[in-house]
Amino acid sequence: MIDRKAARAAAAAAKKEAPVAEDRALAALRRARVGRPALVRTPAGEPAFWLAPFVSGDLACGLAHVDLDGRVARIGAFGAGPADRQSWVPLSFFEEAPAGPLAEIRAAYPGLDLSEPVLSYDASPARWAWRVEATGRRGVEAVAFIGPGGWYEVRPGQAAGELEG
Amino acid sequence: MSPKKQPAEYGPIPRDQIVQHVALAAAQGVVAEFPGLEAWQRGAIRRRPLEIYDINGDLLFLDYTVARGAEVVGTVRAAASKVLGPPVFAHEIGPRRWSYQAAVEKLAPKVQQEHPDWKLLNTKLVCYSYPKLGVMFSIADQKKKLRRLIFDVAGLNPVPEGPPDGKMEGAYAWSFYDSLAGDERERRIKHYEEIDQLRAHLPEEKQLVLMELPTVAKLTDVAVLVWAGTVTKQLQFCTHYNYNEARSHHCFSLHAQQKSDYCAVATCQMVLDYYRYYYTQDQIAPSLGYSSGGGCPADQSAGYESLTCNHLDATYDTSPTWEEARDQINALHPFKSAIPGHARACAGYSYYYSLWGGISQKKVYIYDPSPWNADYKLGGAVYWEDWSAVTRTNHVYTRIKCP
Repeated sequence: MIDRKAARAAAAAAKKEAPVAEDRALAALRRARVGRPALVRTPAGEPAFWLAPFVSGDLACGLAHVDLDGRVARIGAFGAGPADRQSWVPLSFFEEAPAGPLAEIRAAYPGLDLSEPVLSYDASPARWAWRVEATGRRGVEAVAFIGPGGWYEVRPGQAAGELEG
Repeated sequence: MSPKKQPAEYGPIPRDQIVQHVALAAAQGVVAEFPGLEAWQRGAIRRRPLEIYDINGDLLFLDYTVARGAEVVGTVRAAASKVLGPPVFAHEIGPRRWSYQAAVEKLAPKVQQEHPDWKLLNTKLVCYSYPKLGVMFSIADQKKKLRRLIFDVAGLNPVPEGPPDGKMEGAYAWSFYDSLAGDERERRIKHYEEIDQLRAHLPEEKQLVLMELPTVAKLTDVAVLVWAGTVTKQLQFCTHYNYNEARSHHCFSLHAQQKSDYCAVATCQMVLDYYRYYYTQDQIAPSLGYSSGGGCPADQSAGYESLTCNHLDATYDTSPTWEEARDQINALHPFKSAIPGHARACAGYSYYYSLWGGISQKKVYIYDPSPWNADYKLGGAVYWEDWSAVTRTNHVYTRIKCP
């Protein structure tokens, strides 16, 4: 498994290469610096991949998804083009789960214990999000995912399975 | 100026592009140190090509001579039409042992003598059974009945016409163009366009260098540029402008999924928007079999069709390949590309090309409706995805139905 420094280097190299370097829609990436990669874990808690944000001010304008072997599986930008700053994600999102949605989740599950948020994913690694388990006397009663656009819950047994969501 | 006498369906290649391909091919041969091409290093390509016709009368090849002063050191054979496939067919080493003019001068009296009542209309250098060349005489009698007579250009022996039967190779004259079936023509045109991208992506000043046809040695710098490179194609709405030209209009827009399990719905919205069918995500969801809290069944093809009043053909493919994806984009058809538990739209591809390594680093251009956002204008991402990095569970290909 590569370390954070190697993940950052892989992301930095990938943004300089074609086709990213020539893609006008990804122009924001070329001007951005590579931020601190965040380790994404599987729902079971195992390391899965690194998310390296491309930083512009206090926002992430895009991401590189770097596999644990150093391969850049995906590299791209948030939103529809370099001027779509409204779609960029606060850089702090990749450092800790946002406080607002966490408070809403606490309020939504009174009497349940919430796990520490873990940067993970829902069904597909492409759907990365902060994962929070709500546990009661019957065990895990709900799993909440916090994304940049808000949070939602998945009830146990409601996993996507053959469905695409 | 396009070569003459070619039907439009052949895809006549403009003459300046032919010259560029010839220059590149000559220089690449030198850079690659093809055996026998050592003398080309200090040679130059003569500007006037020898035209070679199909026996059906259409221009087929253009042979460009490579010479050092008066000494001919080789020939580059270029295709006159995209339907032939590769822009350059051959590097021929050394001078030729035959002369078209000499063959005509020897054969013409013989033809006249053997057909005293026929009038000689014209002569052409033809490829009568690839790669064999011949002299074709078109003659007419007093009732204007036409005939053609073909002789080998080197041996001067007459060549009968007939389809190649697999038993008597080269014993008959047959038409190269006419031998290409419809699907074979399409395949070859695609092949041409893939190779042509390497030329078309060269900087303008390098293309001009190719046009000037300096010595082959001076062309090798340009050849190195296309020795290896990345070929990228993104969806565009029409073929009149390439995706990376300022006037291009790609008409494919990112839509975020408005619910956490609306990935397939938002993907369908993006694809249908491209085809000018506008629906909200809530309108699309029932047609895709959406169930709250889970998403949509993987085969959404029926929904794509019903939402377009069956004007679109949608095909569900559970064993997608990169080549299929590439062909869809080349045909300007966006499609749904699914990975386990998630659907996205694909609107482009990219690959790395090298003469020695072939095609590698295959990527697809993904419009991902995730991260979700209740405002579809705010979420989502666009990225290049390594083809081999993830397991693709299915694609839903789309195309406009032909009546």
